[in-house]
This record gives sequence, C-alpha cells and structure tokens, in this order.
Amino acid sequence: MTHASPLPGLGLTPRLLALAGCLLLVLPQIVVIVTSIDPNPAAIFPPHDVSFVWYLNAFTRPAFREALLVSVGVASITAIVATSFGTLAAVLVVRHRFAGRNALVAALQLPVLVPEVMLGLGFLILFSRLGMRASLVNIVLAHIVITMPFAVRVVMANLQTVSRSLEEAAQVLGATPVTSFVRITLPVIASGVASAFIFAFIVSFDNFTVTAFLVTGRGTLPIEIYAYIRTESDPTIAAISTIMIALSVVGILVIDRLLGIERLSKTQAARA
Amino acid sequence: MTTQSARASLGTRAALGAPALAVLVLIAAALSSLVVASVAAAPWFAHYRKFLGDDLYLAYLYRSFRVAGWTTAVTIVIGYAVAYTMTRVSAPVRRLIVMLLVLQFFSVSVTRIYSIILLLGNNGAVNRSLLALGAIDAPVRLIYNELGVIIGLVNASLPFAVFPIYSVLERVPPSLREAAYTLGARRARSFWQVVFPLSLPGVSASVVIVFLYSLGAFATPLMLGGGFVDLISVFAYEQAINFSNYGFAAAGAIVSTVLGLALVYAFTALVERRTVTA
Repeated sequence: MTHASPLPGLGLTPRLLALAGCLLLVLPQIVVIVTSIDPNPAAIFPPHDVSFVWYLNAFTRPAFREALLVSVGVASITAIVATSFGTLAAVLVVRHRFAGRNALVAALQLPVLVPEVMLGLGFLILFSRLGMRASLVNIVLAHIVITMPFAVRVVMANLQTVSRSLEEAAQVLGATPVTSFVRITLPVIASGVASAFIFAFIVSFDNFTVTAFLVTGRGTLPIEIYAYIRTESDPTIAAISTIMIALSVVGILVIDRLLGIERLSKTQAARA
Repeated sequence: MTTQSARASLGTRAALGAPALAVLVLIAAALSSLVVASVAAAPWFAHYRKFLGDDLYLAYLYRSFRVAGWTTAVTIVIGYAVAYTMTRVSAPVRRLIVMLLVLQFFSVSVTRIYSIILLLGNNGAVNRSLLALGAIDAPVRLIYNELGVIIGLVNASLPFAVFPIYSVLERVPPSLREAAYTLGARRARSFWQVVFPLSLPGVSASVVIVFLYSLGAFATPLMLGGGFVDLISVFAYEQAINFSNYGFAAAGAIVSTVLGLALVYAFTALVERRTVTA
C-alpha cells in the first residue's frame, strides 16, 4: 500500500499469534546454533575446547562421513533424474494441448499428496515382491518418485513466464523439435531447471520417512543422525544441524537469485 | 499455441511424457502392491478385521486423528495470523518471513526435530531458563508427550498453512476493507465480515494439507513422542520392520488414510457449500 490507508494497525491478538509463529520458527534454530558452539554441562573437555569439539566429532566419525557420501550420491542421482524427467513433463503440459492434459498435471503431483508412510511401505512391499534386495538403488528409485513433483512444479512455473515466440520462430525457420528444445527452450528455462535440481536435491537429502522403510546397513545422513540421537546425548548433532542450516540458506539464496523465492513460494502454494 | 500443437507430432509428446509416465507407473505399482498385501489374507479382510476389532490398534487410529486435529487447529490459527501480518508489513519484513518459512520447509526434518528437543526438552533451553529464573522448581515436561508431538507438527506444517492463506489474502484488495471501515465497521467486524470470508478458499486448502500431513507424520511422533505417542505411521513402521507383517501394516495405513481423505472431502464440500450460499 503506497497511499495512506485509513485502516488501523494490526490488533494485539494477531500480532501476538504471528509473533508466536515466528518464534516457533526461529527459536529452535537459534538454540541449535548456540548449542553447537557453547560449553555444555555434559562436556568432558574444558570450556575453551568445547566450541569446536562437536564439529570435529561430526567430521571425524566414519559413520557420518560415510552417510554424508551416501546422501550426496543418492540426492545427486535422484535430482539429475527427477529434474530431467520433470523438465520434459513440464514442457509437455505447458507447451502442448492434448486430451488428458489436466489429468496428467494432477497425476504428476500425486506423490506429494500420498502420505509418505504409504509410499515407504508400498515401495518396501513392491521391492520385496520383485526380489530386489534392500540397496541404494531402491532408495534412489523411491526418491525420484518423491522429488519429481517438485521439479515439475518449478519448471512449469518458469515455463509459464517465458514467451513461446522464440520456440515458435525456431520451428517456423525449420528447426526440428529436438533442436528447438535443446537450443532454445532449455537455455530460456535454465534458471528454472537449476532451481528444480536444487529443490529435488534438498528434498531427497532431507528425506527420512520413505528412506527408513528401505534402508539396511549403509544409511543416509538423516538415518545416521536419528540413530546417533537415540544412543548419544552429546551435541554433535547440533554441529551437524548448524552446517545443514547454513547449506539450506545457501541453497535458498541461490534459488532466490535464479527465480525469486517469493514468486516461487506462491506457485508452491498454488498446488493446493 | 495452436500452431505448435499442430506441428508437434505424437512422437514429440511421447518422448516428453514417457519418462514421467514411467515414474507414475512406479508409484502406481508401489501403491497397488500396498493394497494387494493388505488383502492377501484368508479371508481377504482378515487384516482389516484384526485392526478394527482390537482396541489396542484402534488406539493408534484415535490418537492419530486427535493429534492431527489439534495440530491443524493450532497451525491454521497461527498460520493465518502470520499470513495476515505478511499483508500488512513492509516488503523487507515480508521477505524475511518468507525466507524463514522456506528455510523451515527446506530444513532436514531430523535435525529440525532435534532442535526442538534442545529447546523444549527437560534439559532444554526453555526449562533451564525457567529454572534459572526461579519460575519453576522442576523441569516442565514439554516433549515426549502429545503436547510435544503437536508442537513439533505445528512447527513443521506452518509453511504449508501460511503460503496458501497468504496467496489468497494478498489478492483481497485493501480498498474493500477500507470501504467497510470508512462506513463505520470496526476493525474486528471489517475483518470477520469482509476479509475472512474471502480468504476461506486459502484456509480450506491449508486445513487439507496440514491435516493430511500431520495424520501421516512419522519422524515427529517417533522422536518427540518418546514412545508414548505412537501414531499410525509408527504402528505401520513397527509392524513392517520389526515383525515383517506387511499386510497388517498396510491395512492400518490404508484405514487411516481413507478415513482421513473422507474427512477432508466432507470438510471441503461443507466449506464450498457455505462459500457458495454466502
């Protein structure tokens, strides 16, 4: 509102409720960051050492190092596949009109609406019926299903803002569909595709529920973190959490530069 | 648009859609094997009969719906206040709130829940501060009970509630309320009679998302329930992983999801009818 609004300011109740909401979002993050660098009563080491010891422990424990490698590997492969499949599907539903198009748009968002436990259990049963022993391949397959809706959404949102005249010009001038896709469409939506990749990577990297049903032996990072919290009470996880928060902030800032977070959050809301 | 679709051959569309279709086939296969496993018994409804006929198992169902109900109510009220505040603050403040919500959405769930333990646990920041201030004599139990699970779920689902409501509120022209206010409607009245009815579609969408999300939540009850607040998903996990009882686990998960969807469907139908008649 640029003009002077005659509306009174916010009332006390909405202010307090909104403040409570923001505190609920911020306080846990602050506490976890402070805990990761602060002396702790349970610490064995003198206070001046403590600030680094949890980070050191996080980096030197082989279980975490291996889990980090597994998670990065799974999330990378997942994000590459989900982004490429999702980009093609987004081009199909945004740039083409055909019977069943709306049904396809809805079906592409289906995995987001199905409770994760149903997906995890469903994949566990499917893979065991197919005789596929628990492995990282199973986890990647399940993660592709979970992350593809996000990739489709982000690329669709990007495509809808880009004029199709360039692509049409290329086709009029005789470019084949493949050439026009690779030379025109892809460069035009590059920022959307990159954001979709980051989105898919983060969702896969974060996943706990579906992974918990499919994991044996070598777990992803969230699985190892959960196992550690169950057995240990030192703040090593606070150090890992702080690193995760920092990485998420970087990811969000990159997406913000590429597409604009505020616009994207609206398209995410529109999926409802 | 017509030129392109006329030119695009069937082959182009197939090439664009086939990979995504393969993924859709995969999820269809997973969900159908879930259903098949739940009825692979003699008689076919044996798993369902066992689940629905035992108070021990029904308790999981009842608890799940109670926790999801409370979570939805609290999240929508707080989320509405945040969304409404976002329409009334300066652009930089709004941007900051959006960033916080997106960060929440992108946080690794396990570490996010861990940070709630650090904040609200018996030895957590809140209890230690209250003890130091002398406000309490012994730590207050804030987690490892239903309250803790609900707090954790509200924390997790706030972004799902705020964004749909905000995207609707943002489209309500301020002039509408200003008119009502200038014509003498008080602040509360101009809100409840003008703004709120127009935002109902966003509220309804948020209710659906938050309710279904918290009904199926797994990591939060697992970590903040302390074994006392096992929701339906924890039941399904334990039956499947600890007892390899896939069919029974599937039956429980299906009963809960179908009931949840039915409830959500009834709710949206009710809201839609009210919005149409209003």
